[in-house]
Amino acid sequence: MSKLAIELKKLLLVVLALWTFVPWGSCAYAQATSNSKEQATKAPDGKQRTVSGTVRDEQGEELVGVPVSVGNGHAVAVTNDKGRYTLKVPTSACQLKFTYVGMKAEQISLPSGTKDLTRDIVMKDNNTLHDVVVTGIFSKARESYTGAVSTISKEELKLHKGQNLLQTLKTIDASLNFQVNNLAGSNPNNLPQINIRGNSSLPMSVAEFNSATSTSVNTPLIILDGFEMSLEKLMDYNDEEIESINILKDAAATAIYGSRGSNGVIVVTTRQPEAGKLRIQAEVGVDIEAPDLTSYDYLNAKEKLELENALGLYSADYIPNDFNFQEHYNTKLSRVLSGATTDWLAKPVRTGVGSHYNVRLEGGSNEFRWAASMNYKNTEGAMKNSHRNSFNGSIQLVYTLKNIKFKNYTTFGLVRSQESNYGSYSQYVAQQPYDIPYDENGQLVQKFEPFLGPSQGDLGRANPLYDAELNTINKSGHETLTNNFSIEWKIIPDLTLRGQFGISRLTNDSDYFLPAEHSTFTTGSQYQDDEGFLRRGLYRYGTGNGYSYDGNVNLAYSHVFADKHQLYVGADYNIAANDNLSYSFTAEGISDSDNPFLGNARQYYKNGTPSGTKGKTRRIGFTGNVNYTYDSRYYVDLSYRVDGSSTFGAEKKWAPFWSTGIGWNVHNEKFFKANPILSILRLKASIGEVGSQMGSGSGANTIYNSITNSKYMTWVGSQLTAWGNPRLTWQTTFSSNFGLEFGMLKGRLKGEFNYYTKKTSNLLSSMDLPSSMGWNSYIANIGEVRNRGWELSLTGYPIRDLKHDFTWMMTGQLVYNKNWISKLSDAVKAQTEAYREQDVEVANLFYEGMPQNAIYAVKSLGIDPSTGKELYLDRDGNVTDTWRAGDKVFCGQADPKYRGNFSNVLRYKGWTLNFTFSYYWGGYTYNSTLRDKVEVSINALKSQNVDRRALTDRWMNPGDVTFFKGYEEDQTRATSRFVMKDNVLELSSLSLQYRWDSKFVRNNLRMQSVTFGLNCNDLVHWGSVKQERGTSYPYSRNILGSVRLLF
Amino acid sequence: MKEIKKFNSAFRNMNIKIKNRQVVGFAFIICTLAFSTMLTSCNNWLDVRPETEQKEEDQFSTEKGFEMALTGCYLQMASQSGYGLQMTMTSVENLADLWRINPNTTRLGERDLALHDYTTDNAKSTVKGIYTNLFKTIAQASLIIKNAKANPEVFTENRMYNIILGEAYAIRAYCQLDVLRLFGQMPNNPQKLVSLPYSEATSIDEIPAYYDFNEYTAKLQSDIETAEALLEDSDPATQYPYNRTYATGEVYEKNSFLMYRQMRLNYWAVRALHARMALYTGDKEAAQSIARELIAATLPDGTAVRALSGKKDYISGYMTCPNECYFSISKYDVKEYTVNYFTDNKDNVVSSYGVNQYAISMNMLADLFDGENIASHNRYANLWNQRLKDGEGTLWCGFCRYCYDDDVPNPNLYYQLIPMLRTSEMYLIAMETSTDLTEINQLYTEYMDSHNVALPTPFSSLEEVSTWIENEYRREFYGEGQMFYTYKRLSETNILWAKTQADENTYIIPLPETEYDPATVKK
Repeated sequence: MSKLAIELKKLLLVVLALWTFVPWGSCAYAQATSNSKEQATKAPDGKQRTVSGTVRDEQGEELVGVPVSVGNGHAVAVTNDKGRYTLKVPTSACQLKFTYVGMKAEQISLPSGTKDLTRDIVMKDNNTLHDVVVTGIFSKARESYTGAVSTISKEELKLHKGQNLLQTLKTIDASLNFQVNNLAGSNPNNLPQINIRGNSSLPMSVAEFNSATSTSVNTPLIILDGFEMSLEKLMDYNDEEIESINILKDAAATAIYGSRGSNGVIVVTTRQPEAGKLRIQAEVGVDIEAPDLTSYDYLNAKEKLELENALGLYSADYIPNDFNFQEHYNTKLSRVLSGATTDWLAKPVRTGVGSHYNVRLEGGSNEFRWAASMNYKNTEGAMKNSHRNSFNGSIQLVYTLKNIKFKNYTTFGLVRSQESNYGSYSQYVAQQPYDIPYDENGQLVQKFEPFLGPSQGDLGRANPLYDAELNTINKSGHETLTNNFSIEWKIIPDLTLRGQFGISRLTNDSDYFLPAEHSTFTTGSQYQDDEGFLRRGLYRYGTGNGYSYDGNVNLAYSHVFADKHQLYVGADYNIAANDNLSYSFTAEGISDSDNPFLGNARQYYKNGTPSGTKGKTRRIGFTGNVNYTYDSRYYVDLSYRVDGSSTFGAEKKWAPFWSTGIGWNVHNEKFFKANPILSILRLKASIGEVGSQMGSGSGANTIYNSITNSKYMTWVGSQLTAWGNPRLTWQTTFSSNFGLEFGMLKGRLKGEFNYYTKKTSNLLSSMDLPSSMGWNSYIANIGEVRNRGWELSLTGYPIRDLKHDFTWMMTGQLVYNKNWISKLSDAVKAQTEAYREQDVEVANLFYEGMPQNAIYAVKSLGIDPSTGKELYLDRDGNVTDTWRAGDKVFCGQADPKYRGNFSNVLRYKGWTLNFTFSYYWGGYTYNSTLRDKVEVSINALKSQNVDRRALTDRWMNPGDVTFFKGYEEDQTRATSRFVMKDNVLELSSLSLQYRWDSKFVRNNLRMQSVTFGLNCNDLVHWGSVKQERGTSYPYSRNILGSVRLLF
Repeated sequence: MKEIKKFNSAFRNMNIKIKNRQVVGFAFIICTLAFSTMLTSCNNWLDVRPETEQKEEDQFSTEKGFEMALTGCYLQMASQSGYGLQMTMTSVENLADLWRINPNTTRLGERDLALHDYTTDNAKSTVKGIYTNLFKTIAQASLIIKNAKANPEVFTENRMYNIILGEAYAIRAYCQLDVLRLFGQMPNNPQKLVSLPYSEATSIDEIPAYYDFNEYTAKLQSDIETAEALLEDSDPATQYPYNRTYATGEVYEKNSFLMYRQMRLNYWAVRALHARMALYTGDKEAAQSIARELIAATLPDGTAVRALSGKKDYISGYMTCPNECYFSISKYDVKEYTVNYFTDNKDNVVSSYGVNQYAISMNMLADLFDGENIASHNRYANLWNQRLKDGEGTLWCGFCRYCYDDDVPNPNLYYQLIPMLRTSEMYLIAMETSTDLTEINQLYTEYMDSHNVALPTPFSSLEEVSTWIENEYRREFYGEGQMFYTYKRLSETNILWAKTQADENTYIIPLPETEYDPATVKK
């Protein structure tokens, strides 16, 4: 026993030592072994023999131009136009490797001997149907998997490469639903909202919903090599490190994640190091962000002035005023006629030119493999000075000792992001085109003169460029260090035990600085007196850190009994914990604007207090999975998970989740085998229940909080913060899925269809209490949301001419989803009713039976041609010209019903062309451009520029039949007139790649291949709604050029 | 390079030695150990909270936790929607129409309370704030009661158990009495009967039940008597004078949590509360006996528990009468926020009177002291700053009870407090409940002496006494939130300075709309 312990201790030490020696030690080791391999290729005795054969695909067609390599060296032969290869190999045992674009690499072992050999090869398609499904906990054969899952390969990632990994995923898979964020546009620092198969969580209260803080409740769980990671980390992840991404959609797939699985799971698998001679892969690229301002159509200085004058803004009843105003108009007019006009749209934007660099080194022997990679990416946003820089470095080690495999993966990530100091784009759009930001001397003016000329008390409007030119700072950053370690032990060939442990540390900080010259201080009344003057200049600093660990033990057994009964049993035990804390504080009185340093501040913010958060969560899960397949025809799948979490009530700490599914491989039936058309036909169905840990908060326990900011005599106290609800339980989602997969015409056409339903019950919401309980509500499980829909994907090869190495692949996806609230808490209902009764205007309303994202507006009957006023239909069915919030009716759902994409990949020899269209339709949008930029009130014209339609399409005179009302004082309120069908078609991705691997490259440049790539994203947008896109930050067209070198 | 190769080969040789069987055995042991320890401790392991938070059972697992929770109750009581402001100086005083409200005020809820229009949204939300705060305090007191009873072993000594539990009962009773006084039916000859919640809730499943006046009073009495029984022998205030529990030189009490008894609901305070409750609910005999008992009460060393000390206090500028308070709320920042409501200038320097500030007019001051000898009256001289000027130059009287100079010594003992129960009230109770004119006049003389009025004209009839007492409540407890209840107890139809006649609807504040009786909700 003690001897064993010593041995194990040594082993551990060695593993640790090895890890610290990387990359140099292992690099040398790899070099050494691969050199010896190379010698082996030439054979010590110099004797050789011939190997030949034909390479075909699964449909039996010969594959042309497949490189064949010996061992792990360079390709030494290529298949000819009949798919045949011939090459000489040494007489000792060796391996042949066949690689081909779009196909899985094949490897065969040749025994030692002197006889010539014939080996025919069948290569399998890389992307679908035959793969293994990686669920992050268990790996399962797709042939017997009942879950709905879509797989994205690294090739697809390269073809669709976008601004960041999330943008890339958006163009590839339509089942990932990205919420359109018209406000944030193409801001590289914006984290998008994603959901899979519709929203399944409700915000806690109507107020919370309206404040749009509920961004994260529907975000899917993201798993990287078995460990949870954040959406932001995925966004910044180095896509070159990814082998594949599996998106688990239904309960059968996500039940193994129990409480965290209800929003779907994105499982990312990193590339494993390949054994062999040192391979170096390098990439250099340019990333261009070109602003797309085509949705903006604004009046120029002359037109704007014309509109203002036509509406009588420069006239008055009182003659002396009238005279003054007209004079002011004439001054403006003469200035405009002499050419004074400003293109404000262009002021804060630029064509951002960023870059990215990637290096990956890998090698080693079969026993010991390693990879090291580094990636730097600098995205320069379309607004000036906005950028996001990320660095990722990783070291991966794999050591195989007989039947034990050790893996260690260390990554370090660093992100620095900065928001544009130009602020919101919308304030530039609003500027008057006749205002000139610079004076005669080329100096920035601080203020523009008031609309009707200088007058007492009106100092005019601030020039946004003035603040923008100051040294303001708005940046943040974070660093993550993660280490994941795993041991996999094949106890017997059928039984594998795996242990994993991951540890991660995150630190972050943020800086916000407003220099003393900023308009906040020059105009703010509290900064004008002596004391206020010294308070000018503000610095807000925030910092925090997080620490988490995650470990699991996993046992998997699979065995085939009597050739027909295939059994798989898996068990997993998982624990995880997370600690985090953050602080922030503000200081003021920094007079030296060129030196924005916190230490230069005069004092803390007046009456300000430091703020901070501290959190701690823990979770335990037990998972089991059984899969039984009979004769490769019928299979049944069972998953069960028990989850415990610190965020739930004392009485409900543990919750069970489950799923079950059945499947039938029709194509393996005897009667079907003879079928000449269909080669694959699989039917599957599953049901299950999963949960969501999101938004649970601390509602379960009656919590006391220490009061730190007050005292009673010399004592400090603790107070109750809220009543706990010990019965609070997990929000659970019951879902079902019916799927069909098929392949036909020798694999020329493949497809998958899934129909699903999803019911989320126990939704968390507030429950009212009488005031005599002291607190007005507590958190309870109330309400239910349902989603129903289907997903269809088809892949076909119109041309698959392997002889000429020419293929054309078309892939299309169509997704339909219907979402509605099926049950609501009485509290929410009562609140909604109260709002309606009291005509309180709320941005979003909830009703049972209606979609979660719905548009409510007052029914409009159009513009009365005689008065130019809008007519409405009130709740009693009367025509009225008064708008009341209580008259709002349902006008359509805000989410599109159908979404999809359609992509074409053309390959000819080394060339690959891809173009992808994305589309969605069936939803509605409230066109706020019309409200804010066209149907503005007459007073608003005095302070902002407007859309062209404000000049051309508005009611002016009695008898005008127009879509837009006449000019008046009142703002247009929510009206059905502005609710429009939102149908969109986008050319979301266009890419061209050329892979250059001629003899010249191999011999003269000493490289295996050079790949040139050009990726363009968001090129063209056709929409049924004419509205401004990207109001706070413009949309941009993203163009990436890159060169990838493989040594 | 060579070393590395050597190292690698050594590494390989060494590892091959490990036998599979040994590994299996070892791994099995590790797994079993790991699983068994983790399974048993899973529930504990999952029990984590952020450091600034405590779960109820953890809070009450130590004596310190009980102390902090009790302090939390007083802090809740002392909040501005409670006795820190609204229950003493503003809302409740506005109900008694004590303040002149500027027509342009933006404190619309307070204005509507003064107009006795309880139907407006502003009035409702103001009332709801007060109501919720009272019940927040009550709920926390109930939680202390529940947990103390459940874990008496947590306390280091029986005395601590008695004191903490007794104070919790007293806090609950104090707040519930004011719920009754604000929202309940008229204590005398009620036409409209009102049932009210008496909260003993300690979880969401115990929504307070409603009780009619007699049942409610019985519950109040029971809580008060329980508190008295618990505190009587354990409270240090029954052993030493209040000032000895904190005096810098001679400290009688070593446990710092048991110092400053006058800032907590001690035994004497609970007795005084008992007298107040008895008087309000019509038990004049009990009120009389307790008030007399308190006036005469002495400590083992023979010193009086409390004596009228207005005279001395006002000379020292202690306008909160700290030395006659059985119980006062400690509020270290009282001056900071009351400035927004009352002028902060107690020196007779002209200061401006804002739209949202409360004051009284010169005529109101004259009404207030009508019939009194104002020549030496220390309330008249010190509580009112008569040189307050509005924008038009009109003079007003500013209220100065909570003003003090920045450099005074021991502000937390003499200035930063809000009186809750004091000896003056006991004198008034004793006088009101007595039928013996001689006795009344004797008390009256002592009482007026503390107001620096020597040899006042004796009363010649009981009617005279009751009229004077009603007016004296107004003069004496200005800004302490007692006048509305006095009017209500006396069923007064003419509230001084009110725009309308008062009736039951004036005195019974409607419960918030978010309040409901669980008995009527459950089908």
